[in-house]
Amino acid sequence: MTVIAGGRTGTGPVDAAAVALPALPPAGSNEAKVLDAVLACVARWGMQKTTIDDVARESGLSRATVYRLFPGGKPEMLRSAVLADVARLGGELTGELARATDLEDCLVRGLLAAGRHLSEDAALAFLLEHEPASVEAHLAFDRLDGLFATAAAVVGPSLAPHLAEPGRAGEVAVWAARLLVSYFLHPSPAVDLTVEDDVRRLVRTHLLPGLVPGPSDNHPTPLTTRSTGT
Amino acid sequence: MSDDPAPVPGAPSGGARERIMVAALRCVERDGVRGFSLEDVAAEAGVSRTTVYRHFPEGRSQLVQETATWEVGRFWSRIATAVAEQPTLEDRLVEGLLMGTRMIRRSRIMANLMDPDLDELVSALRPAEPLVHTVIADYLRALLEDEAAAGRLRPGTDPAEAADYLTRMILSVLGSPAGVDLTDAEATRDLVRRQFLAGIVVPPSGK
Repeated sequence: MTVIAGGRTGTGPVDAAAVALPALPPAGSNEAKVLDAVLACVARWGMQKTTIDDVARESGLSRATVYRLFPGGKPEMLRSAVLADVARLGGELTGELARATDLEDCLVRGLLAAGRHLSEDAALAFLLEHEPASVEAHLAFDRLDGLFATAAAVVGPSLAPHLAEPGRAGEVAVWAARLLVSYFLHPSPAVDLTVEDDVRRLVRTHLLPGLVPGPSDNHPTPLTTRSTGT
Repeated sequence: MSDDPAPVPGAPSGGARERIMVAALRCVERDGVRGFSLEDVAAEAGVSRTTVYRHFPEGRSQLVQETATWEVGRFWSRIATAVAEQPTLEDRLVEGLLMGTRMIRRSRIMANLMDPDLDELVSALRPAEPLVHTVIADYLRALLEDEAAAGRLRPGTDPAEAADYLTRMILSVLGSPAGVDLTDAEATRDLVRRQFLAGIVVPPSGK
């Protein structure tokens, strides 16, 4: 969602605050039930049509309980559900990256896990299909800066040990997040971030050469338009 | 080369349709995306309301959408014109990012946007997105094919794929700099070398 561009604010490095991610409510708690129910309802009917009653019914809780947990009503519930989803992705990524053996493995694991997470997100899929403005408005212009700052804060520390310049971990995380968002919003026939081979070629072709110090004569098989075989 | 938001030299001018779109831009600058009526635009353009409707039969939303698309086209064509003199692909990318950033910062429209305005603009621009991506990627692909012919690309680089990658990075970075200072030439060049071109061009010898 970047046709013109943003940068509406200030000068110099944009220090968008990282979005503060909430601790995930314990599984099985009423709060977790409500947040799961919100995502289930949005996946079925979208954001606009989902009502508090729907969420109460889906979660098996009373309307009063739902309101007590989320006195701000629908906007607060939606926001909490989205943040919980981002926090869940952050947790998945941290776990995934902890198992990485080197920089390439780290980048491939991270992009693949994030790409699969997004592609399996039924609520997000419904919104992109039926209420794209509601998603893109959050990803438009410089509104993405907050999300990128979050990526730097959450994923950066896992990347740092694998980098020749650990101080650049945050910007590398943002770089990967840019590609994630771009390929998610504007799919490419050649690069599918849920397919390991595609992710690995992307990482080898464009990311590693910018990260591995020295003259990289180890340039791998270049990324070319994948023939789909049909 | 000026990068003021002035009409592109050589662009078709004088037509009523274009005059109406220029007037719409002025109205947006003054009153925001949601703050003007078709009467305002007609008055600004010096044409009748009927004329506005003849050119934009679907009314306000059509006018906003087509004007936004047209302005985006002018934005990119100004950049393409301005960077044409740059000697290398790297220089073109660096200069294009710097200039794009200056133009965005200077734009009174962007500066005055309130959130509801931004939402309307996002909606207005959405239909043009695939076209913008294609236009930029085609432009870069032609450049990359020249670079490949001159032996400056890494062996096996696919110009179409590389152009698509660069387009994604350009659009992402201009939209959300996320910590990169795109008003600073050195920082921008560093970004272009590391994240844009490292996997595409042959590294300069001795570097």
